[in-house]
Amino acid sequence: MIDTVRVTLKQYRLEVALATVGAMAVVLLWVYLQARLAGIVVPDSCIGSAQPSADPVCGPSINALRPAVAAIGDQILEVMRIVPFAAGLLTGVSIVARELETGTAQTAWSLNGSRRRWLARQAVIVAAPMLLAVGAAALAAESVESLRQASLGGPAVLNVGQYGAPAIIRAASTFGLGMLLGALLGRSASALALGAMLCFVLYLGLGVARDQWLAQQPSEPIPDGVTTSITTGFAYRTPQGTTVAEADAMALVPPDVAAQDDGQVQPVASATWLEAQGYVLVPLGVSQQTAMGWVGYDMLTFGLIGMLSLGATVLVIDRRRPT
Amino acid sequence: MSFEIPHNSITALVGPNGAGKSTLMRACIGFERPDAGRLLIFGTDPMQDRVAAVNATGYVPQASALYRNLSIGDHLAMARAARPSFDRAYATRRIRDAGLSEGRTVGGLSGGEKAQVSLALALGTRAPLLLLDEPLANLDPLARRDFLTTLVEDIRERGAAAILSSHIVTDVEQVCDWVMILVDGRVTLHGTVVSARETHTTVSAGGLGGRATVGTFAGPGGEALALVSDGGPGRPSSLEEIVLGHLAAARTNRAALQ
Repeated sequence: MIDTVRVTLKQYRLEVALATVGAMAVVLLWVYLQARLAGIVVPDSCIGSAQPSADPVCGPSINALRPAVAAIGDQILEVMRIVPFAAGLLTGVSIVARELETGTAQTAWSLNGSRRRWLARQAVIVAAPMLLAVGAAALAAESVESLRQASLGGPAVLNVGQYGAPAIIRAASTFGLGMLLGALLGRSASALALGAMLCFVLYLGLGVARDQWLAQQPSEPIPDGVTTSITTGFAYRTPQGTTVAEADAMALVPPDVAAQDDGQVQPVASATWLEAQGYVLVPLGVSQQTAMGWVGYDMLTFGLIGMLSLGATVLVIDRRRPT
Repeated sequence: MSFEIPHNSITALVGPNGAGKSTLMRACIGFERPDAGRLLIFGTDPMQDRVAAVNATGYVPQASALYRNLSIGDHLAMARAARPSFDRAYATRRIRDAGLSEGRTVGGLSGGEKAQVSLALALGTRAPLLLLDEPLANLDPLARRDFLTTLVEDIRERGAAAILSSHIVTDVEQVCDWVMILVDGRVTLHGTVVSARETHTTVSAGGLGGRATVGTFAGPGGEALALVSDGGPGRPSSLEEIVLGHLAAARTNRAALQ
């Protein structure tokens, strides 16, 4: 078994090394960030609190985090947009495509009676170190995301897939997709190029789907100082403390005041009138907790793509003529 | 086509380019699906049960299909992992007998050395049927001799069967018991080398006197020769002449059809 692992990793050492180096670069950046943050003690209660920077206890330490988190933490999250896809594709494509393009599939498949067992063995041995490396990077990025939430705020849902379990699932899924494209095309370069294009389309498509999903979620007034919600619109708080839709509040504005806003981009006169009557404009949005429900859909999508790709790869190699 | 490969024999599979030799070999191991007909490897259809067919065969592909970056030892380890019945000790002995060391990287081997590694991998499977797809094509005479010597020793020792496709008839003549000539996907001759020699004679094309010929071809000096199989006078044919006569006949038939 050790011999099998050694020989298989030797076959794919370049791809595994590149994927590992990419993921380890993220971990190294995280180590550097930790070094920069050494000495800044953030009480546990501040992480995840609604307005830590405004809190007299949390504020000083949280504010001290900001420059480093903004400079290095954001870099880590940006790199993690690409790392899971790149690592998965690079290693996945080579499994079948390189065997076909170099002719070694003839040796491999004439020695292995079961091509499925061959594929399973190769895939597990190559995917394991890649997923371990991406997993380490995903954990590092998750820690960065927590720090970012605490110090800089902003909706966490926009970074889903760049940290934690969803990032690992993305890597596993694109590994499967890479294997399928490699088996179908039989050429590493073409499979990589097509895989990269598909991943890009998938990434954009999921972003659109996420935004549509968020638009369908119930909106609620966003409390002052909370920056983690997704803003979806505006409403007015009445002098009595109830919330009414922006359109309903505008309907209360006298016609002569409302007429002043004709042709204006913003209904400034109407808004001023409402404020004078004690109405307060409040942002409406999807809370962090509700928005993070998207994580399940993201993981499900990539999980399905990975499993379908794996199944399709098995079918393709069963019928493939080794060249 | 219909043929059987006897145990303890080496069958030379000869034919022009595009005759279907490689396709036949690859169909035996489940790499190609036959357009029609039925192919059984020890009673198993490779397309129905590829695992059984592959496990019953050792295969040496036409071009080197080894991993350039792996060592010879890595190849043997890989074969052992792929097929638990792989006899690594035997393959190692074959590698050593070929004057190679397991630590050498395949990318640095000559064509002849690569062929020996491919053969050692196929022999190490201890499979009852060996399929060797033009393994001699790029080898120098000495490497061809070494390759064939190793093959013959193994087949005689185990009583296995081998199909060896090659263009170099003079080489395979020395080691093959059976010959099969394949032209345009059809078997035009299949029998023992001895019986083929007994039933064919070579005569000068100019002195045929109306005798029916299998085919006519040019001799080594450019003289016109004819292969006949009527039991009449003539000198005993070499295997090369038998092959040339049948290939010439196929070419004539093809030209007539066109």
